[in-house]
Amino acid sequence: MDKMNPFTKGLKEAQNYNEKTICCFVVDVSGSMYGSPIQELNKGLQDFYQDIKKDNRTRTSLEIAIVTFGSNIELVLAPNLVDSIPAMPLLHADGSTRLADGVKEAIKIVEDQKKWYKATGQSYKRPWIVLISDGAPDSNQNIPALAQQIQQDSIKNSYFFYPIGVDDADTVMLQTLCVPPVVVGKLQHAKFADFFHWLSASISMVAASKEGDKISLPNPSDWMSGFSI
Amino acid sequence: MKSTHSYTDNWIVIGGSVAGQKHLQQNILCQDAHNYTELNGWGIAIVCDGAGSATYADIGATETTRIATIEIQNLVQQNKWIENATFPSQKEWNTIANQVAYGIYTKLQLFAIKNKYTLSDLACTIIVLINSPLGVLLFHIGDGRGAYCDTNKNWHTLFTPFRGEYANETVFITSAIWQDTDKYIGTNYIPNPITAFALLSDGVEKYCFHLNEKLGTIFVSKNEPYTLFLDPLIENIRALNSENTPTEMQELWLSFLQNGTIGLEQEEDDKTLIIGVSYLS
Repeated sequence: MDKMNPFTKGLKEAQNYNEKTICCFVVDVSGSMYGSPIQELNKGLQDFYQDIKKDNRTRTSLEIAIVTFGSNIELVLAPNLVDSIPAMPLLHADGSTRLADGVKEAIKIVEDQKKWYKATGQSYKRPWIVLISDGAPDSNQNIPALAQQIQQDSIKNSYFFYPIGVDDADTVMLQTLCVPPVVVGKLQHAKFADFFHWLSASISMVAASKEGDKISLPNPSDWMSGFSI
Repeated sequence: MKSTHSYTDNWIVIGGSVAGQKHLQQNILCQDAHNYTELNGWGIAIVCDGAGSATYADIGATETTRIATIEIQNLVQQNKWIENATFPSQKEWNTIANQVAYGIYTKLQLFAIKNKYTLSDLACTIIVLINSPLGVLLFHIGDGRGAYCDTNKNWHTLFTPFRGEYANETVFITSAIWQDTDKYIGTNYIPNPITAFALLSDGVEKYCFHLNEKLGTIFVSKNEPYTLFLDPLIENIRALNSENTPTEMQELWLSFLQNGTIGLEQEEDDKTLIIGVSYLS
């Protein structure tokens, strides 16, 4: 800051609250994530949290929520500003893969959050839903119906939906959930840290942008294949 | 990075457009544009903010500003408002503003065709202010902010920016707005002389406008010129104008917009601010 600029003499900037953005992670904690994958995922979430805490703008505008899906659907982190979250929860792997139920819960959470923003007079930007899964969904999960809902919501610009397939994930199935131009990102679980660093940088850039802006996000190609925005 | 400075017996007007941090880091040109033209004691101030989604947003903002300057000059001259010291009524101005806005749009269309651009690649917002001894006429499409100071030294907002559901969502002069101009083209009419005005793109708004406040758990949206920013600024402009050449004023103004305050220095978005100050107040 140039304190010597004579135009600044005696003036004060207004203090305003930043617009909110919610990012809801929908995380696969089925049995196949047990061991190294869930450990790396937990570490990646911690890195993401620390990255955002360092960004003065994003820490006061980004709200994070985490929904896990295994045999149960759990809201392990309710939407909250990064600045107000003391620590990220530790996730544990166990059970089957209720993927569609998990994503539907995340959609409900971001829609509820938008209603709350409206009811309390807060301005907000388009929410993010980030799906992270390493396997195939349970046979009773209605993936076509979920794909249809995401397609319909995308027409209304209800949220950005980013699916990330880890290790041997069913990327063909995940691709059916995507709305062009987004394609499924394919990630080795050992690269979770890179992914979350990339995501924090990307969210910070998008948070500072206007709806519809063309943004050159950091290139993830050296550690993640297929992903594009 | 551009600046303008105009000085007459009655008014000092200074404006600048500079790139924000996001475009500086990506080596992208400033996508805001502005202009101020003095016309026999009347003034025309224009601010355009190119859409980040538009491939040639910088060209769109610059060309729209150029076209609008000519169209508004023609409007004032053809109606002989200056010679006759007359002003349209509020109802007349609403009609005229829509016609002029559409005229600017069609000229921009011609520019796009002639230069082989897709019109949406030139998308930008626009704010037009005509300042005169009789008062102020304004219209706008999209976001940004405007304020004026009356003869009692009270600041007032000039318009409400257009916002969609999302905070960072707006419309542009190139958008499909012409079937519903009441919704998308905002006008204002101040039939009294003013002593100062501020016209700005949204990259500057959170520093010189009070936009929201928290009352308990409820946030209240506001659109109030921030006097603790604007009042010292207009006093500084008056004082500095007598001590500096026009070139020095422009250089200082660009520097101010780049890093004059912590917020301006850290701002991601492009920044345009035009301030007009009357000597008579």
